[in-house]
Amino acid sequence: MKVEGLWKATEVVLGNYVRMAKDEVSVRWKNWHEDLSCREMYEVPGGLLARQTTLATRMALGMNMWNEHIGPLVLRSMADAYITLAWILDDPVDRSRKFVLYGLGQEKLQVEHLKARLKAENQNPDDSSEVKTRERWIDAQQFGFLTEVNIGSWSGIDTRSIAEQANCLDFYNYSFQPFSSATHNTWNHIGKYNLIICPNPLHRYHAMPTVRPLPPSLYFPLEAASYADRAFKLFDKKFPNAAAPPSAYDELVDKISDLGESMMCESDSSET
Amino acid sequence: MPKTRKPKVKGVLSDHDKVGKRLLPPMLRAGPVRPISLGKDIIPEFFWLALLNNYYGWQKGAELSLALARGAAQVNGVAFDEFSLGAGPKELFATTTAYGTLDDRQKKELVDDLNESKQLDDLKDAIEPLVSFYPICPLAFLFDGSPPAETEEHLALLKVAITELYDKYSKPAVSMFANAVYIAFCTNKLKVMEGSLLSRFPEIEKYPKTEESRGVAAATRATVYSLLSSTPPDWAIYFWNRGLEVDPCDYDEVIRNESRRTMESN
Repeated sequence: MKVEGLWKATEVVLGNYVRMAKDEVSVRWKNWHEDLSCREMYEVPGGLLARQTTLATRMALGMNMWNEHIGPLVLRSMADAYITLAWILDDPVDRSRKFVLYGLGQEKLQVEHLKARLKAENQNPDDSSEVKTRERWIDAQQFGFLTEVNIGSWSGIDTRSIAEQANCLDFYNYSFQPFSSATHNTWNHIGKYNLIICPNPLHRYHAMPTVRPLPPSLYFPLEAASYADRAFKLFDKKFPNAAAPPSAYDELVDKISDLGESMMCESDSSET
Repeated sequence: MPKTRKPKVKGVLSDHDKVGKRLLPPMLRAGPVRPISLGKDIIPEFFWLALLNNYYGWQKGAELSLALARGAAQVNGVAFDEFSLGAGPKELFATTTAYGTLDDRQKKELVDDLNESKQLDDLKDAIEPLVSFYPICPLAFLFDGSPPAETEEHLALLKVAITELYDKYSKPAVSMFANAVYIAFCTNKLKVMEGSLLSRFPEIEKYPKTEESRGVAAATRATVYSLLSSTPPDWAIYFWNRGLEVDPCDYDEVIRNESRRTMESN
């Protein structure tokens, strides 16, 4: 299989992953019996599962993200979503509500900033369709004038403590933390990926900025798919359902392995 | 049945001290440390020693550098016979910076002494590349107002010599460290405990062939860092910034090469 053929085959495998992953969300949702007296406890975990799947599938389809510049941003967000989901599922009624109220407060604060900016630009915020739409979105859930704005963290504790309480501290240490460097643009990311050492010894081997092209790595879509799979498995543990859709991630790993093996076989036969 | 206690699992960085939200390494318990770095400080200060070794080999390089350092100590008021009594100069004349503390009279006296001992020209020949491209080098007085000319050969030599020194285990780097420590010993700027690795200093000549020489080299390297703890940074700052003027950075070329390498690796 030539390189072009390999990419075509990989695209097919990834396309199949996207379809199966979306099915995983919908099958779970359809088999989850809602109690609308506390709708948040369905909407929040359901939304977080969909968010995980959105990020994993966008990653699968976006080869331009399969590198250390962009990949960690998505993976960090997915790790965050997983830890949040895990913590919420330990007390879904109360924590889902808390999650929603925090989000509404954030929206209210952002709308107020938007209004202030419009005023500074001598525009009337009451004429802004964006302001109206966003305020309606808040009011439909809870009147804005009753909505509290929390400028701390939504859970009242930091992500590490959430992970500790949700029994996923290892995941936090090995997945969330390392990708934080890229997300927050700290030195241990930019020092490796956005600087290049000048080879002139008279210049003390100083580093210079570089917009470095990086080759794509399958590690990123596979890792993203594994995070989505982890979220599905966690959900199934908390809310067992009879449907048990096939794992899109397992299928992806199998198919990628098959592709790798067929590549190996072809290179062996071409050498003999 | 007696209960068996599970061994306590140590967390990561358990040897560090937690101060607020910071984890401080054990080495900082004694207080803040002024960081001395091989590139930033050590190479500029001791580069002249490396040039002498490079030109004449380690043995003659050591002899000449010691002659200059001793001479500087003497014009600074420490008579030769006082060395054996343990007297030493205020400055460590292994560093380039130390030569900037000599006044005109002392410099003239030192040049005359070296001329008389027929060591001046040998010293000048070896450090010519440095003084030619770095005209305000504190060692420029050895050329008595007639600085050497910049040449392509000098520039190439400087680049190769500095590259080698960046590998602190390379022989050029170790011999440079050794000469600095040797000067510190011989001018009474450094004393060591009997039985310590540094007390077997002559073994370093065998570096890197024997295990003992490698041990002495490690101790020498560590010692060199402490020798610069009170050296002002002015010369080192000038040295590196002058490097950018001497041979400007070809940024576009560096980026082009990186792109080419990436393309080739894909």
